Amino acid sequence: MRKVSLREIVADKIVFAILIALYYWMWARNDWHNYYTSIQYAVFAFTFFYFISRASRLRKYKQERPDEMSEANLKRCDALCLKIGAAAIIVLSFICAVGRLSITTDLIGYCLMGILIALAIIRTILFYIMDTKGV
Amino acid sequence: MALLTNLKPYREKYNLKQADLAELVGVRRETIVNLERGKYNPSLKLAMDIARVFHTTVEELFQYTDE
Repeated sequence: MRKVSLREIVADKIVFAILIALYYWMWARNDWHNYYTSIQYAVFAFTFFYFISRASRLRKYKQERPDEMSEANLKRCDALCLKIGAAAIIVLSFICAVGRLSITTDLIGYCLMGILIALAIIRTILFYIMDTKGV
Repeated sequence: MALLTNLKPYREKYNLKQADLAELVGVRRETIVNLERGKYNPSLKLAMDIARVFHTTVEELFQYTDE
């Protein structure tokens, strides 16, 4: 089994964010089609097997000696992403304040899920760039 | 302050590639690359591990200048 890189662990979060967004969609939807059941079963099955496979990779990563430069880069990346996330939430809150008469709560939820997915993607890209260039 | 490293001369003296040194001290090759360029400040443990590989002191391998 090949060595586990921190980039792989960080990129996993994109899939988790998408799964959380899908789970949110299952709760927030207002319509129903017969094929929704199939989608739900597929998502649950994928989630289960994906978690199992990623848990084994994460355990392997922790057993291997982690590279200190990667971990330092990830801390820098996370500090930057915290600021980006805070800025996104502030923008969303002002949009909600301005459009409070027309924006519904489920739409706000979809916006938050979008921020979650975007943040996971930005974090992965930023970390990849930082890890390539060095601290 | 800028970090100056003497890693490359020592590595060449011991006939080690960057990947070999990385393997010996338990880091990636990219970490050794950035160390040699002075773009990464190693932890004390990593600095001491590298010094041990080359049978020298940390001060011989790493110096800070006031640039």
